Amino acid sequence: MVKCNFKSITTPKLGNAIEENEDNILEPSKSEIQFDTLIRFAISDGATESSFSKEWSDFLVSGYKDKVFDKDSLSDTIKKISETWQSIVSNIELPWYAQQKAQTGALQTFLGVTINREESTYNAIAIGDCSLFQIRNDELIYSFPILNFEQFDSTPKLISSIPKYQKNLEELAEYTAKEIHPNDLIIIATDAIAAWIFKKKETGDKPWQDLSTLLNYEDYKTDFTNWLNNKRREHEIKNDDVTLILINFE
Amino acid sequence: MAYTAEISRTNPSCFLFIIDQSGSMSDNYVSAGKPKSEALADVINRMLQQLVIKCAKSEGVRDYYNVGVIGYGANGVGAAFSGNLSGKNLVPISEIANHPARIEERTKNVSDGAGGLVPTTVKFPIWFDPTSSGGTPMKEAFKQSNSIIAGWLNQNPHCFPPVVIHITDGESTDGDPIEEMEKLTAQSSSDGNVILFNLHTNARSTNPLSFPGQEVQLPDQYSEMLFKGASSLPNFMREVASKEFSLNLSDSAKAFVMNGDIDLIITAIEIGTRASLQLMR
Repeated sequence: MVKCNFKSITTPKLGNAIEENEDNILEPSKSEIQFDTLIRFAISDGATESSFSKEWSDFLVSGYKDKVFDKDSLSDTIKKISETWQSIVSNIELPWYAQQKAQTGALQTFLGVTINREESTYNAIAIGDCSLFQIRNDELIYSFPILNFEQFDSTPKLISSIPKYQKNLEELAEYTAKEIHPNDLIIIATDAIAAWIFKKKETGDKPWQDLSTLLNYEDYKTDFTNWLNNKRREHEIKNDDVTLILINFE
Repeated sequence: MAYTAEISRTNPSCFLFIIDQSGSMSDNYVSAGKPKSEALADVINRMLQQLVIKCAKSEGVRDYYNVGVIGYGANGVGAAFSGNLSGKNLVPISEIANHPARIEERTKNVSDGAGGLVPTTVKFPIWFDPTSSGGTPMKEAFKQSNSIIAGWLNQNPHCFPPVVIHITDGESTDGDPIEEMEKLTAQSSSDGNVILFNLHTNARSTNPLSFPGQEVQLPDQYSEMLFKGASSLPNFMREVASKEFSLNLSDSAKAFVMNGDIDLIITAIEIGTRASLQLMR
């Protein structure tokens, strides 16, 4: 079986508290990455305007661990997850505005990746602008579902926690499946950092080199956050929650 | 580039409404079948409700905005909130959320999720009550607004610029307010000048004009004054007008409406308030 290791980080917008980070992350445990054939990663990014996003993204990424997200099952799976979200939210006593806000639902973008170590392949599902990058021999050979910087805007596809507000989930969801070669690098990123990767790449840079270096430092969470905050202050990276996973294959 | 400042709890923005409460505001809108003052109070209360909900998160309401409502009429000029907020000029949105004067129940048609509508009882918070009597001290209203906005900008020099929305149906009775309007739109943060909407409303909505440019022919001095005093619509607001309301406005379009019915007034308020919500962080 192909071996891999990963580094991940999720950090709130500059100026926000850690508990206000509405991104969420699913990553394998130490034993899973060592012994399991199928390894799952997922990230989810909350729309600024919705409430109870953290809970919704938490249910979505943890749902990816044991529920089926293929085309035929997606609607039922999301419906089941949304029932859990609704039961939690409806049991909290809320002031009038929080009640009315909750009635409009929470909204998230989502990307899930399942790696098959036996077959050296992966498959992925995306709703919205969380992005996957596959790098081979120091070149970007594939990105999914976003193809270039221009595709980022303020209206990404979203998964609603209330099924009646969900527009055509089956049409919004995009799927892919690819092979993995030895020494490939897969990057999974929420929109702000993904947009930066595209922007740098499109001007001839290899931004995955910077990210790989940063995430190799011993105290990489602090170093990455400092680096990110500088980029945010220089308006090079949008001030948004950021989640990033780098998966290195041997 | 102007009008790009991030709106956050550490760098909030503000909306100020200046509402004509003179006697003529008691006339019924033909289209809505209720007095202009009542229909406008509903619009302001609904806008405040929507803004509160936009700023609400699971832990509470984030103070992305301060909002004020100034009224002018028989009682002169002053803060127009009812209840606990009475007498306050610019109020943080979390305080507005937690202190409606009362919460009424109203019937609203809500989507049933299957393409139909079902009448549902909804909570409708009230912060601002209609009133209409006396003259139209518009000049003094703008004088006080200038002072309120100057105070805000002094405290928030790098904010997304304040948006001031003035709604009236009549002529000023305390002198020409144009100098005060020009003073207001000359005020600025490091992100750009204050944006002033002059929205003239009319019970019958005869010959309405919406967001005209420099080429417009106006019927009288009074409408020329409101047109001249209003800001030019910044590009980002024209984009909202185009994307959300299919209004293709000229580059010189002004934040100005003449003889607008209640629907046109709502559209103008949406253009004035919705655009900046995209900058909330």
